[in-house]
Amino acid sequence: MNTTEQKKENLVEDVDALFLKVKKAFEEYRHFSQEQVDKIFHAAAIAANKARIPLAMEAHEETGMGVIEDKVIKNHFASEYIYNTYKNTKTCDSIYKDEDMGFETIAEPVGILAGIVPTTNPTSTVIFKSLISLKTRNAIIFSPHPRAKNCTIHAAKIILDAAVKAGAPKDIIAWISEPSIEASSKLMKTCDCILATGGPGMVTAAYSSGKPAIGVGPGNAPTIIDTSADVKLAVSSIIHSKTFDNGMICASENSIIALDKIYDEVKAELLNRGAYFLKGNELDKMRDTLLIHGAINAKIVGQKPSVIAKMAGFTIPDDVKIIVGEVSSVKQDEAFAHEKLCPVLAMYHAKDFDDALNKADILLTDGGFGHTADLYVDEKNHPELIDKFKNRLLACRLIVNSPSALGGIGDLYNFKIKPSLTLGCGSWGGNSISGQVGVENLLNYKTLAIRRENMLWFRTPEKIFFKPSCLQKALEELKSVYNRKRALIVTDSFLFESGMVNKIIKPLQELGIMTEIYSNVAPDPTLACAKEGVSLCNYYKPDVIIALGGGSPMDASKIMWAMYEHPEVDFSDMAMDFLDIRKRIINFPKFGQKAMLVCVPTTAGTGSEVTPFAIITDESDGTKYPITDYSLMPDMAIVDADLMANIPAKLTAASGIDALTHSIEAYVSMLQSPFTDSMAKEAIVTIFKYLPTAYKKGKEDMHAREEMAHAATLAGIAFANAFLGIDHSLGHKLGAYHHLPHGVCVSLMLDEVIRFNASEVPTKMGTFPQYEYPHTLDRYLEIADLLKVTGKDKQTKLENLIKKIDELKTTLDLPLTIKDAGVKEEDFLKHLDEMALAAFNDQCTSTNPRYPLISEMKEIYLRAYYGHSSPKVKKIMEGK
Amino acid sequence: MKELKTKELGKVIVERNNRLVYQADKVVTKVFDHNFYNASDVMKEAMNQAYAIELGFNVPKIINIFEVEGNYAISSERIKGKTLKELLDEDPKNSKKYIETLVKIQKDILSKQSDNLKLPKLKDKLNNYISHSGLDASTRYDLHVRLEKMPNHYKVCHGDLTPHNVIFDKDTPYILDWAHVTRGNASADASMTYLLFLLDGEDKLADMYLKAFSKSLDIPLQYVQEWVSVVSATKLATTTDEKKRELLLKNVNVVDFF
Repeated sequence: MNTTEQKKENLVEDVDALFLKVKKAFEEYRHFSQEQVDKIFHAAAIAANKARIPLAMEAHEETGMGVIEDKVIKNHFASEYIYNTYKNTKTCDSIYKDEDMGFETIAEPVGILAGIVPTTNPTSTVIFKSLISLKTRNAIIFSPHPRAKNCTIHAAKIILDAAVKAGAPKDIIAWISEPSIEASSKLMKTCDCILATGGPGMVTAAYSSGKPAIGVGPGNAPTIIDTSADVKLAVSSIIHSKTFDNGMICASENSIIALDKIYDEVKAELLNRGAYFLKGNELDKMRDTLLIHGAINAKIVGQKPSVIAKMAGFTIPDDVKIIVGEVSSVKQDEAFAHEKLCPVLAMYHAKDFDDALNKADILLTDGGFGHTADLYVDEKNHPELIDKFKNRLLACRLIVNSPSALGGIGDLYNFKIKPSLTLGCGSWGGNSISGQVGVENLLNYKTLAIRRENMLWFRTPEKIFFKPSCLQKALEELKSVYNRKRALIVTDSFLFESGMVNKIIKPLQELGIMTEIYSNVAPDPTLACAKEGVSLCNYYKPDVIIALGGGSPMDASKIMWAMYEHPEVDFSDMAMDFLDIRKRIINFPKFGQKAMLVCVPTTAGTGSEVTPFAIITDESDGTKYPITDYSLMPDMAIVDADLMANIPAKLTAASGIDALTHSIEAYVSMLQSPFTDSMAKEAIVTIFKYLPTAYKKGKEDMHAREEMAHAATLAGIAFANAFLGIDHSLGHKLGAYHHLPHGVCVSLMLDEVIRFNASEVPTKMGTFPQYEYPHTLDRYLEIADLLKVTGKDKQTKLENLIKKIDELKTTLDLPLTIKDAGVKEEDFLKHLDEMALAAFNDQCTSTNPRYPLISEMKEIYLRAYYGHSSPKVKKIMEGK
Repeated sequence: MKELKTKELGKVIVERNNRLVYQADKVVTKVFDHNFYNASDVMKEAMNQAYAIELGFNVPKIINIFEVEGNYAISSERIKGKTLKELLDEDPKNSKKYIETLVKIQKDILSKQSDNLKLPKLKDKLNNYISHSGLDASTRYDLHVRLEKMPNHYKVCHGDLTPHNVIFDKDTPYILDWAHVTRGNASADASMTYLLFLLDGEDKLADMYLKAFSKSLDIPLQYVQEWVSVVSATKLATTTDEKKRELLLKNVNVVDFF
């Protein structure tokens, strides 16, 4: 091993030893309380502040750069402003707690920081980083620049001593005493997080060390002076900022871009305030001095103008404040377009504001991407220019009417921008952060999230009128309460031709309400039908839409209502599925500006009169769009059993069984609540009791009709709030593929869905906070209890419930299997996979208590086709 | 085998960096002063040259590696023709054409990627040179930091590509002196060539070269210039001429942006 290698090895060992000591301190400090930490933070800030003058002098003497008095301000700023900003900030343990929401944020330190310190701001950077590190219970090891080693270490030591005196562990701040690239690389690879302030080489090294790094990039702030600007304020601000510490702050102005109209005025004011404009070959001499093969000449950094001029080979008065070079190219081959780190500025002409922005854009992008840009403008009268400036330039600090260097470090010319000596440049500057580095960047936030239940709801139409013969009385409210003048009645051709519609027309006419009828609604209403109805609405301008009929006219009316109220809303957006109705992407507008919706059911089943659902078919491709939103909830439902006297028996059966599936699915839904349970239970009992009679006797037993009418509406209210499950998912697609009535489809799927949902060990359970564990079997057994179904054990009782349901189906002459319903095996199998996937994707699947796999949906279909225990099911599932 | 004597190797045509180059009718022999070169240094140069041949470049064939009067020597086939340097000196009107030829040769070399582990990485080599540059610790620190930015590329870099090291056999250029070949970054390799022009006092040619390289490889000038300070530092250890040292030190004394 030669001597250099030996030396390297020693350095690396030193870092390891140092790291161990600091680690010990950190392990102790990380458990300190906020009170202890705040005391240490306070003591450290005071110590740094008291040492601001000697530290400034030491930094100046050691580096030979900058201005002592300005370094004093930087040290003062780094101690006082940082303390003031964060003195009350919670940085330890629980920093935010919301017990009601079960949410808490706990702050922890990130660990041992590697603090990389530049030569330009050696002491102030140490003060800044030490203070934010102490405040956040981190430990920090500084890697000084060899050129500023002594003052960097001295600053760190002063703060450490004060911190330890105030109770901090003894090695909580440390430093590499013999800086070298090997030692800092080792430090960066060992630490927990790097706080890198320095040139791109150092920042690149930090980012490639494999450790998280907070590194920041170079600046090259362009300063635009608009014609509306206060030139005196602009010029003095620029000179003030550019001379600050002889231009070494990264946010310093590097070029002035003055609009043509005021260029001469700006120049005159600059001359008046002590600027020197380069003449003739001085420009070229300065170019050769500023850059050496494209890199900043180390000798000019932080020097005063007369010294720089002397280096360039000419003399200027000693009291010149800044040197200005009037140049035209903003490209990097112009030395003046670079960052200069000394009181030398480029000055450009701009034709107009856009030209100025173009120039600033190039200067920024090529030389200080993401850092800082400045504008002087009349803020009151030209906010549009500020908008243009802020939208166009890719700089993380956009400073208006303030000195760039002092404005950029924050809290001096604007009091919302946080004070910081480490300024992020975003991804543009290759940085992980874009703001002012502060305590929040040095904390790991733990989030405590305790299980909470989702808010539930119960929504119904504003008014539900019921009892036989209530129609006429209810309609009177349209006049007396709502003062409606133009009614549109939406119905189907059967109800129109049979004269049923007159039951509405007549009373309305007697009330003096104008009427119009749209009777072209077919079963499974189409988009075309809804559009036709809307064009009628647009022409007739109803203030009330009255839907009369079964599900189809009610669904069609809801869609017409939506399109009439809000023609701007896109239909396919409204049809978008959701996981949670309150978090859906599409925001439904409020309805009711133009008309109210009244629903008058003539069948006992769909419940549409009290639900926020509508299904509409796009006739062009057969797609069914289920639309759900509480905006679609009718304003009034009128449930008059007299209108249902003549329902054909088959329709009584199909719609009645549909109402039963609504109530069973709502009862086991994950969104179920006591409010929906009571409605669902009442509906289930009533349906089992009265549906057979209503089916068999029809209008001969009007009491049974009335009970069924109410049961269907109760079931509707239940599922309007608890929603449905996969019985409907599977039923919807079975109907769509094989053209069976909806009620028949959901009836065919019910038995197998009950068995599937009742599993105590489902493949996947549903996701909802209220659904704590698979308990749907018990929910079904509660239904069994209601119906007085018994069984020696849970499983038998469940099977007996299914048997009871099958008995009802048989009484109603409904088929028990899909096969019995007349679907050919060949057709069924042909569409099976498609159907299973489509059913899985149905809106109703999301609230089912068991989350199904697509293959499970397929299996349910097969069992519903061949019978639960058919060997064919297994064979097909196995692909035989 | 009969032992060779130095005088049998022909006439001395170059004496540089403690190496003597002899030229006979068909053979050129480079003799390495054993006070400055170990056997492994010589073998390595021979290996580099052999590797360059394997990569398909026009390189004189190695005839023999042997010991002569206590020094190691490599003999290669003699290319009878003029070097690019001679052509540039004789025909300055066509300098642009010659510089473009040099760039084309360099582009060809750089177009090869090498995974040969025997070739050092340029970045390692530069870091090592900086450590031994004799510069003060602060400056070395800055240079090391600057070098951190250099991307780890694997292009074949000749490392000493100057008009002296290109010789023509009729129209075919042969590339000599593979002692410094590494795997690395094209801009840094160009930066070395640029610096070598400057050290020769050929400022105009340096500028012409930089522009031609930048244009031909579509690399911004700044990317090449970025490495001037680093490659200048690597030349310090072996440069004794005061004027040249002054130039190198000026190049070195720059800072990275803050």
